[in-house]
Amino acid sequence: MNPTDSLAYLLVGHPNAGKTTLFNYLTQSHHSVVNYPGSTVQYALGHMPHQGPLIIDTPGIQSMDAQGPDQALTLTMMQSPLSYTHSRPIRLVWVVDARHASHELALIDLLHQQIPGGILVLTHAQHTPSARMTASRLTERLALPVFWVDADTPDHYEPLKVALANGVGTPYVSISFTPPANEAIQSAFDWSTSLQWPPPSASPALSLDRWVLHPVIGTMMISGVLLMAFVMTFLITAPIVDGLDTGMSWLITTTQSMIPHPLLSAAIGEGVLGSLGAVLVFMPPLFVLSLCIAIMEDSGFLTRMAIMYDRTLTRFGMEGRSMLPILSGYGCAIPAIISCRQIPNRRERLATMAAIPMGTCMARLPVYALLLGMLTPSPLIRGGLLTAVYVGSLALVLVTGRLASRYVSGPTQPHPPTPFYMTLPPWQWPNMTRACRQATHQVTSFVIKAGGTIVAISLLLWGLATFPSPEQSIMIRIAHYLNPVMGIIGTDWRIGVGLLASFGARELFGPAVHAVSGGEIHLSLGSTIAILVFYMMALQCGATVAILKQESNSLTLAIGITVLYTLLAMVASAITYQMVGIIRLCF
Amino acid sequence: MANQEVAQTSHMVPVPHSCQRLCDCKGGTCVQIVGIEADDVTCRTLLSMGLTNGTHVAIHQTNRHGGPVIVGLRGTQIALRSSDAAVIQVSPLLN
Repeated sequence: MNPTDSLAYLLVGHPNAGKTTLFNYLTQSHHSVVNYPGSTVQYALGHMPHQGPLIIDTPGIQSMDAQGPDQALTLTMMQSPLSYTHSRPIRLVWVVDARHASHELALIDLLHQQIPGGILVLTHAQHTPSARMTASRLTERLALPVFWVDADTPDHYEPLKVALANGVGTPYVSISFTPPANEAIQSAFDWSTSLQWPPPSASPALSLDRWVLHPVIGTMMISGVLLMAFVMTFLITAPIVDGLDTGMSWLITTTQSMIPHPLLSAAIGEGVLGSLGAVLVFMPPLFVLSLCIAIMEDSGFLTRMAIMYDRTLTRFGMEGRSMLPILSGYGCAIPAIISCRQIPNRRERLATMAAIPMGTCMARLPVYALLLGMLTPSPLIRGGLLTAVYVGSLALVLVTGRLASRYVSGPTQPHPPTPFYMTLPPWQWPNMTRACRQATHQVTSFVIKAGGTIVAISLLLWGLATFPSPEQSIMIRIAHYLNPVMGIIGTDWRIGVGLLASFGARELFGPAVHAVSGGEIHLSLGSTIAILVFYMMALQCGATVAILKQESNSLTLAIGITVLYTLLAMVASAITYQMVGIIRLCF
Repeated sequence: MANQEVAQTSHMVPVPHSCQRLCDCKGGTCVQIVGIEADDVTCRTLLSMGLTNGTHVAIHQTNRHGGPVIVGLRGTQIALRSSDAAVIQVSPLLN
């Protein structure tokens, strides 16, 4: 057995301190992202090359009080590491950004007082060349081996790599620490200030903040960038999605012609391949949107966006950090709900999670395209109406957030918003490799988490719609019971079949209705708008319900939201249908 | 730039008996923190952000209409909500 097999290191530090870059250098990017059993927070685990020590990357912490599930995981890992390290004793690696050392060292000092041992790694050393002079004063109080690294000169990692392989630092198996007293925090910052750490060489990008954080110009700039990201997502991927659609249709036809048995041919063609295609068409737009978000995150743009939107979102029961989840909810609710973890407070986190399903995710677009196509032949009016749908859904997201936050905090006690603060990371040129990797990870986790459900439910629905015979299927029988309900919005059981099919995947609406109507779908103006309204509000996505349950850790909440939104959608669509009827009577 | 401003404040002296709230400060000025008036959790949260007594703070941007307050301290830029900046008592620093 290799002696380094028993070594395990935990990288701990502030958010953006350079832990992940260090982790990637040490493990040569050969790592896996894992979910701790029973928790949904992810952390990265990897070995140094040649069966070297185990390295664990942790979510950044800002204090010894857990701010949200991510930071709570880091603090738990530090206190009882054994279940995360495959029963190896842990050694700590404190990671500090040399540019912000006099700020970040205070926390390390506080932690070090309760967890002795470990080593200190100062990243971004190239930006503060004169800082090494301070190092002797640093080690007077923090008796730790110090390593300087910077991404520009990989040679600087060698001493650290050697030390890690030789087992630097003191191992432990469990430790408990308590949050420090206010006096201790004061003393730690007094000490880190007294180091008189040299400021980093000024970056010209700093003056960018003057514009981006400006109340008027900044809001306009940020909105412009967001709009551009969305337009790009749709424009770039539209031809790819069309190509995938055509390719899948060809594949289905070809496969079906090769299988002689009619039932088997239909099962594989329409059932399996059809639902696989449904998953496939989401992947390109989701990738581009995730890529845009990753680039914005890496460059420091997202933090500024959160700061700028905080005031608006606070009014709706959420906070600045809710902006990213809401935004990604317009791609797919699954990664959006997962990204709510970064919101520290439970109330704002749950409110954001409840609001996300109201956003127009990409799965709704095929349905909207179909319905808007029935309303008007003019592409210009269709575009306008689609924009209206987007604006309407944004309003729904905000109102839902507000109501959900009221529900979470209880109607009797109005809570003030919880403290909001963010460290502004320096502007930097985004790392495209990292952004691509992050986007790929988002798409893969969507395929794994939602893909399985979509395929399974699509198959089930296909079965319901096919047996015992397509004309007398179980689904048609169920849909007949819906006849009175569907009558409220001026349609019949055929649309009911479409709505039932949508619970598997929304885009199955068109094909399902098509199949039972035997050709053209005819809907009145009122019914079309009513169905549109229904799709804007109803939570018809099995995967979203599953993720809501997983992330909120409450089945009641997930089912409650599903039932509530669907009921709300039914009522709203009925009202819409009646209103359109009245308006048509008047004119 | 943020860090230079903080560095420059080291030879400044606080003006006695002229406390004000951090959110009421003008952009471009430098102040010193003299205390936080808040509940225990908020107080510890703000202290953990480095907003400790005696810290010299460069005000980059304040917003009279409740927008974010951006400050620089110890080479780091921090954004605070106006309502949170309101509990931080500061005194201006003179050159």
